[in-house]
Amino acid sequence: MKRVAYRVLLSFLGCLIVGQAWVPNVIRADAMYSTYTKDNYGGIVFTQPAYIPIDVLGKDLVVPNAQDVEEVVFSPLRQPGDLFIDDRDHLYVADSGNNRIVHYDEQFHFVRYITLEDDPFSNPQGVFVDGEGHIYVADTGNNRVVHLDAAGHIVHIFYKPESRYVPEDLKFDPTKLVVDRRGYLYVVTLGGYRGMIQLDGKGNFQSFYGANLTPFSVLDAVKKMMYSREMYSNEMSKLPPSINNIALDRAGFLFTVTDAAPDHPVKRLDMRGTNILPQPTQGEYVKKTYAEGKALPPLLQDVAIDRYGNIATIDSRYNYISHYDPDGNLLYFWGGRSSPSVSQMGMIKNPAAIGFNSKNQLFILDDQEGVVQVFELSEFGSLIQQANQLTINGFYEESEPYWQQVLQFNSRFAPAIEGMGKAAYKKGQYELAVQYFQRVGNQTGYSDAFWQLRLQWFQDKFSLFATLFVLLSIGYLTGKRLYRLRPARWKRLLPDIRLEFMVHLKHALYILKHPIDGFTAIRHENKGGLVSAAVLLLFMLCALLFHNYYTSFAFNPNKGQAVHIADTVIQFMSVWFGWVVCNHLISSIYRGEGRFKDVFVGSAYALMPFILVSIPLSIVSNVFTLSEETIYHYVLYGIYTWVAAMFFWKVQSIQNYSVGETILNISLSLFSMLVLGVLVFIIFSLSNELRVFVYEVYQEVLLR
Amino acid sequence: MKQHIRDHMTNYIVAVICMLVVVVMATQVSITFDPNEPVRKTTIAETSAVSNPMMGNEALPEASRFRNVAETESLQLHLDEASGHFMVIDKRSGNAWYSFPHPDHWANESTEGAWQDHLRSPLMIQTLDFSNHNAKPTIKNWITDNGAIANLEPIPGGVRLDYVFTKSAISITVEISIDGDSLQTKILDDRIRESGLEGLLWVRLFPFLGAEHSVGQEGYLFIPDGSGAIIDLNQPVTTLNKLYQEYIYGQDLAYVTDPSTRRNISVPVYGMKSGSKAFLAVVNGGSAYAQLLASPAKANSDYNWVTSEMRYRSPFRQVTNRSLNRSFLKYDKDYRFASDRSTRYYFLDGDQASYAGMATRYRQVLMEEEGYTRVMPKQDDIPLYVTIVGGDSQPGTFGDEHVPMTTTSEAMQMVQKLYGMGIENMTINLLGWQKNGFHAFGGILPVDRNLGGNEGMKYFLDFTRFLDIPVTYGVNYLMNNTGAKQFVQRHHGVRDLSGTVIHDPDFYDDNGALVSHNYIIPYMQQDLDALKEIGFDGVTFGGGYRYGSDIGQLLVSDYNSNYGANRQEAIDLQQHMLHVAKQTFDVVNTTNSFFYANGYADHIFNLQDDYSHDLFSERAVPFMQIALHGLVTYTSNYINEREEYTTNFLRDIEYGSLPAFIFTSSSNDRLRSSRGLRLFNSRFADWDNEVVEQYQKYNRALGDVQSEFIADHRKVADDIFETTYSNGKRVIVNYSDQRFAEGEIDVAAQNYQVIGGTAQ
Repeated sequence: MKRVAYRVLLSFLGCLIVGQAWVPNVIRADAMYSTYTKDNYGGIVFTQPAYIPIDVLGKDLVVPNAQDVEEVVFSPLRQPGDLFIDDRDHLYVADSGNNRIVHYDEQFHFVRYITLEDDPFSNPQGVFVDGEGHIYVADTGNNRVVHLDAAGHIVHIFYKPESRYVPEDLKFDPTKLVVDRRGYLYVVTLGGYRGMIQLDGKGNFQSFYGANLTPFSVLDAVKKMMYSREMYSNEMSKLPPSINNIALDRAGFLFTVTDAAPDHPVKRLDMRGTNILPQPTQGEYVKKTYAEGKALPPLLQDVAIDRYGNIATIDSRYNYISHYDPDGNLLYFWGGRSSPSVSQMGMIKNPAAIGFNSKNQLFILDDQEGVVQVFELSEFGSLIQQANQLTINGFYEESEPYWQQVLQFNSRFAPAIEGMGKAAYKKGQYELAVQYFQRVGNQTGYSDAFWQLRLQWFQDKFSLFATLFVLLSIGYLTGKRLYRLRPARWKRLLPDIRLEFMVHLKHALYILKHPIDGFTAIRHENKGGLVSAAVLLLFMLCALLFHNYYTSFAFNPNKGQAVHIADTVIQFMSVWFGWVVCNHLISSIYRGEGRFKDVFVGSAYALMPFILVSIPLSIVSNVFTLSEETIYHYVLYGIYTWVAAMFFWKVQSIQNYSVGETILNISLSLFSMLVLGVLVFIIFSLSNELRVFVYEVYQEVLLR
Repeated sequence: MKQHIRDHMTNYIVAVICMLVVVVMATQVSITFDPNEPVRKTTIAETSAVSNPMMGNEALPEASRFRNVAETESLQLHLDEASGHFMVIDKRSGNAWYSFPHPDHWANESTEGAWQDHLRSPLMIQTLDFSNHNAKPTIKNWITDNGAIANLEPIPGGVRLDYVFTKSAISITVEISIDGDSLQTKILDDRIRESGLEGLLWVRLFPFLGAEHSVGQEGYLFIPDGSGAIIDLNQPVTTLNKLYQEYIYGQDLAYVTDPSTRRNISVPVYGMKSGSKAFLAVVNGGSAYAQLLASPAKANSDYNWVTSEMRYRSPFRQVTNRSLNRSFLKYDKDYRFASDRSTRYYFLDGDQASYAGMATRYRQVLMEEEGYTRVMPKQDDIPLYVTIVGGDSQPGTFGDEHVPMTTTSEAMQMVQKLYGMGIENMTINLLGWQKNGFHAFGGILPVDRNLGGNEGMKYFLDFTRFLDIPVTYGVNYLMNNTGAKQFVQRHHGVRDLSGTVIHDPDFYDDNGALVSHNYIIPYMQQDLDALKEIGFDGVTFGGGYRYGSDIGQLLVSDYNSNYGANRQEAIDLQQHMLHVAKQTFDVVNTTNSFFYANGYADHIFNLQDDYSHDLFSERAVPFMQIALHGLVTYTSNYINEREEYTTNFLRDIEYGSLPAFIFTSSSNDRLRSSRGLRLFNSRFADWDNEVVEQYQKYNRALGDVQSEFIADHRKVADDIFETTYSNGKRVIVNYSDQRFAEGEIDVAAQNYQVIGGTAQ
């Protein structure tokens, strides 16, 4: 009962009940973290680990004791800000808290500390090393970028650039940087909403690059419209979110990460600084956490690109590392929160930076623990890499045995199913491709394969169709001559309609042709009854369910997903009934002539177009592909418009309104529905509060 | 009537007064009269006048002050009455074991302040002042609390004495005794005195027994983390060294503890090896309330030490508002975990001074004291363990729908095919065959009618009986989310001290409440009889799957007022349940169970074979496997559920784990939103060839050592491990991607080699 009440409540608010994937609270697996992927339905799929931890760096760093040269003292990384892996696979860590850069070789052996004797770094947050081993340090505390040669001698120091394009108030606190092949620097500054600062090798200002767009919501638009200029500027300042981190891939593309950009946190930038990454890679998570009723998005901290162009992101909110292919399609994600009192291999407390070396080993900097964790591809992970590499480059058929093997290990691994679908499509096994694409939830792939299948079927059966057509034509012509079908004869075949109920039901068809007359007849001639209205509502629900469950997968991504029947029914009924109540209330104070019964009956009769057309449309959609999407949507929107018009005429005729009055009445009815929704919500939550309060008092008395 | 009362008013008054007097007398008597009160020679108040001899200095007890109090053929026990410390001389090797940090290293100890006294003290305790609402738990040691020794008296093989914490007014009676080659320390529960305002939270008794500095000796601390793990004494000291601290038999869900991402401790043991000597400690009394602690050097002193912490009170969540999730943490003053706490130390040297030696010694304990017996292999070929999944429910259009994954006739075909391929020694385990499938906990029978029902199952069992293949049925007697067996959470569920019904953390979303043991026991016998009636050969507690904890896997204090049992009693009840099952059936299997349950098991599914990957831990060691091989058969994860296919195969070979598969007839795609089954790929048709190949590989390595003990296990080189069986067979496993050759050993990359044995 409680459950039903809950559903009703949600429905009233117009909220969709989205099926939440079931997730465990406790994870027990061989690796100390779990690895997942998602299918296109958003379902979580558990997989074998793709990366396994192999080493932890930075836990045994020492420096000579100042008093006694023989002795060494520990000098762990302190709030390190960044890591970078150069072309030789050497690792550099910006050890911000210790004002130094730590250098490791490709065997993960400590090489040296890079410090400046005379003019030391101050809180260096970023480091970059170019192909010649020159080191660039974002020396945040000193508001400068230091360029050192491979031996650690200063080559150049970049300060805030002087240019008429650089505003006076620009703060030059460089945090991260990269240097492209031309020797141009791209510097991310703290709070730099104008984008990265692009400098040439001599420190001359070139441009601001890759700035984000200012977020602008509907509410902002309303405010802008209604507020005066002064009031609007008093609002929280609307600035583009500043970039968190940047990375350069092997092809020379720049990637930026912005945690506050909700749509495209990760961008691959072209020459002009606009995003060319097709899929938004937002960072994945298994279970959302909420604050003040809002789901908290992942906070992406850094991005890294492996040698094949695959993208990996780290997220400091949910602590997941998400891997995407070069187009931004999810491969897998793994990680999760780590216990605060335990330091375990592979468990990351707070990821700050991420990087790949040329062997595709993964380095993650944990700034809370002060270590770099090193991972490498597992058996399963490397299989996926190989398979996906082939798929990306278009070798679909060659990728098949690899994907097959992946599926052998994990039959629900979504990228593998998709890869198999592509391979089947390429080989012309369209029936198989349709199955794979529907399994993984890829509508485009499904539609393309289905198009081919339909064509094939049509071609195969062409002779049959041709013969059938000829035969039917002949049959029709001869039959017409032999036996004339007159409408009157058909009518005689139907049962004699005398029942009032049947008359009422028939009236629904009449309304379709003559809406104004028809609705007026409901009000004044008793042409509609409660029973027939209830029957029509039942038909409507059937049509709605049929529409939801049997429309082709190409247009209905939820097909095959388990949606509880009660969700659809309760949602529709509560909105519909809300409308009936509100419309009647508004009408009765607005000189409307309709009775409650008329509004009820009329609102049911107005649904007739949907009842009639949606079922055939759903059936026909099963032979459509996305190429016929226009036709499908034309008809569907046609139904909606028709239903809306029916409601309009219903209000007008039953209440005997002019057009203007009708519009006003409908707007007010909709508004009062909103108010009703809020009211119901308030009553529910307040009465719950009261219950809790009483219970608490009772507990207090009992326990103290 | 009224008249009558008025007439006899005085009589009534006298009678009432008399009754009151009797009641008052009775209560008076019950307050003062306590038959269990022992005759006390010295009270805490009397001892407080004396000042502790170790207070105000930095010295460890002097060797000259120890006097011999007991002796056996192999050990001598010496006691220093002033410091409360003892010393054990192993006469076989001449090794000396101290109940305090090793004196040779004391001069180099850099720790000062409180920890210096902690190190020198025989006991550390944590107490809480219950008279003060805002009091925080404080750690104390016997020295700074002006400790005193009282009531020292000899007992057979040793002494009994009271360690009195005079400032805190707490007295703890300890027995120290030797017996054969072992030493036992024991805290007597009924003689603990809390005379002041403070209550005891935990006690660490002789925490630094055997503690040593890292001085280049070969050695490690052994912790039962997962299958067992070792903490190298000479690891490069790092800044990340933290304590290892975990509950034996996992956290108690009735109490609040820090969330842990570590594996459970299944065995109540710990140990330490240093040079050519080692000790193994077995927590043999009160292990349900013990936590294990291991501290690598530099974590809080220069000593490496490992000990157990005996808990007497734990914080629980006192809920004030369930719907708003408001609560506060509270310790219960009146409820102290009752049970004697004892630890037995076994001293090893020479060849036995290793984790393999510790496991061997523990195996001896299991056989001599716990009644474990050797396995009798059915055939020369090893058994293949096949778990067949029936089905599960998932959300559908009209509510939850049952999805059949394997029917009885499909299962029959499966078995037939496997048998036809030459796998004749097989054991079948059925998981998720009850009504509504896997995550419908509570109901055991009938078999879901979509799968063939009880009738279909009978046909299947007739068939397997004909092939002499035992079939066990997966059961769960700890969880109930269906209301089967008239289960009502509020009345029959496991509750904590504030009345909260406890749920299995894995199935919290699905309302998987835990069932009080005492409630379910009467029903269990009925189920078992019904299963026997249908023709099953046995049951598998926990179903053989990693989700869904059952008895033997989860140990929780239960404060249900009608059916409750504390954690120690819960062990007895779970053992009782296993015993009942054992009396009904030939085969009783468990899933990843704790050692108190393993003695009843014929086979353990999903036995842990990895460690928690703590940074201070060197590697996992197969302690559990060495102790169990030859006594109980075990499998690790299912082959088709392996996380790393090759590595896990090699680990199975190294650890002596038998092969196991989990199969369904249908594809896993049909169970997209199952609430608990998360199988990677269980479709039988995808694996039927691989089964035979894997089976043969396992059989070659493990076929002729089924009832043999693992005599030794060692690391040959990096990534190369050798397991030696008691019949001389050696199995060498190479995890690296390079061939390894040295002497007799020549093992290809990612492969294994067998030396000796009959299979050659």
